[in-house]
Amino acid sequence: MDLVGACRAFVSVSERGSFTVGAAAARMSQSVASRRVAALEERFGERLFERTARRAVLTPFGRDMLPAARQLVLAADVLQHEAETAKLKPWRLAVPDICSTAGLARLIADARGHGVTLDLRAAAPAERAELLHSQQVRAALLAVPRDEATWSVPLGLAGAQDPGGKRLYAETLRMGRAALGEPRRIWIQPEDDVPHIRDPLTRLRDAVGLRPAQLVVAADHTAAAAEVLCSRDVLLCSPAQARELALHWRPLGEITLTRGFALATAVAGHPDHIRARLGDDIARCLGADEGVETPGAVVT
Amino acid sequence: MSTEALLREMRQRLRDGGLHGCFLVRDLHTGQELGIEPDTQLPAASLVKIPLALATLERIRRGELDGATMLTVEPGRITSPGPTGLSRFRHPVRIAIDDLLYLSTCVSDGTAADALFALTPPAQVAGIMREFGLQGISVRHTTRELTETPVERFEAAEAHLAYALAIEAGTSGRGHRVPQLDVTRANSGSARSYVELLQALWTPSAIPPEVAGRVRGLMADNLLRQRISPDFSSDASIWSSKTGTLLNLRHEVGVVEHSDGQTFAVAVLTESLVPAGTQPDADAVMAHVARTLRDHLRQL
Repeated sequence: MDLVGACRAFVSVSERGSFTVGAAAARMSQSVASRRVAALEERFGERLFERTARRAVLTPFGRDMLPAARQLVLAADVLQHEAETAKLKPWRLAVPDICSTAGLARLIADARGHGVTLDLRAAAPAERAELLHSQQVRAALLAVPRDEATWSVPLGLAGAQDPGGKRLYAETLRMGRAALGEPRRIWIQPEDDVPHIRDPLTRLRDAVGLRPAQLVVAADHTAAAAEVLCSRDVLLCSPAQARELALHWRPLGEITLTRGFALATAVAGHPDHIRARLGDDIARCLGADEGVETPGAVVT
Repeated sequence: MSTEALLREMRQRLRDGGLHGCFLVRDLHTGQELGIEPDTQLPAASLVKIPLALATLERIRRGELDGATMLTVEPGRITSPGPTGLSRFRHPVRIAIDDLLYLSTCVSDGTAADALFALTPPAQVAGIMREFGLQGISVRHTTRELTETPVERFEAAEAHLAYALAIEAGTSGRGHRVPQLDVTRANSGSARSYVELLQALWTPSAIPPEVAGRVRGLMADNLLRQRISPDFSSDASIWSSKTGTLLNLRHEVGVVEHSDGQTFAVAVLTESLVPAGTQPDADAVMAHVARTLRDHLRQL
């Protein structure tokens, strides 16, 4: 039986002194109210009301039961309210600080459509792991190697001048013996200052004979972009970032570098359900849903 | 440009090129000098073949040795990149002491050098240097020990690990866990001590003129001219030098004699901070800095 529904009928009828009025006040039909009260009486094995012609009068047993029934109804209302509030409580999620404002706004909007309220914290890779570890966020999009990643974003080199060709080889940045002026540099964004991206690139730099100073980790994304916009330097970035900066993007010739992301949750959490609900939205925000573009398609 | 500003710029060039460099340039007629860290001790690598040639030629002059004496030398049979001459030979050879001097000094043949060390052990070479009043150059071991470094133990694709070890395993006071790089155990010297040696060879000194003349002749015939020679040799000058290369060490010491009579001693001792074996750009940066210092000194 529906104990809460029965108690609600019992309390409402006793307050109004009438099955008809009490049922209406509890937004149920009189027959439902009668059936529920009867079920309650059967369960207790004792009558709750003296059924006279016009009025419903509590029996002594009914009067004894009334306060407890009221408490049960009230507790059920509190429980329902808690459930509504908990559903609205935002999910704190640490995201890469390279995502565009438009992309992040879109993610929040899409998530709300899936019944999840997001509260985003944009941070660099190490900081995201730290936020998760200290449980300041419920989940984080961590930077991981490609084989551990749920979402992958191709990385390449982007510059202000069109380099022609399909790919850009790092070795072409090497100074010739007779070259004058400053050597061209590769700028790394803080997002890519992680071992699985920075170290292979450093090894490549040494192997193809670039100078150490030709590979620079920028203090922030904007500073790196500014350097690239006003020189012949190149930025290690995704095709989407290059498009946003109106730079010419090419995949790196010698090696394949990929930004990988995986969703991790704080201690007791399980990321599967959020991944199932928001996977596509997160992919769109990270720019992971697009393949490597052909040079012709790069917007200039 | 002021000397201070020039030195600052050159130090920056070295840093950008991933080099720790010790430079000294001296006008051998006026004694004027310009340098960067000229007194820092570094392992000498093949530079030790100059004191070896000097000591051997001095013993020939004294009549203790005869340059025409034929010796049987076992082949080195080394196949890893670097070593030259008898070190790569597959079969024993009969060769005169004079020709061993040529191979040791002009093509930096370690096996030829060790055949000479067998006649004049390191301690005796050091003793002759002291007799000539040349301090600061330690001669402690033969060159065979130079070729048994960690790099010989790695596959070619992993050789960068040996270079990383050479760069990282230094201990305080210029000690090192790789014995060949430990200045307290290896043949070593500073840019200044090698400039002193060059000065004694090119200007009147305790070294008998015929001995000095033969060492100068051998150094003029140096075959390894990829390092700083390109920036010093021309039809209007003679460049005489000896290189030294070991793990992350790249050295060259030499003298440029201009047709107008001006003579400069140049000593360049560097250790690279880049874990790669082949670094033509490091050679180019070394040469550029050495030339810039010489040009500045010449116009003072």
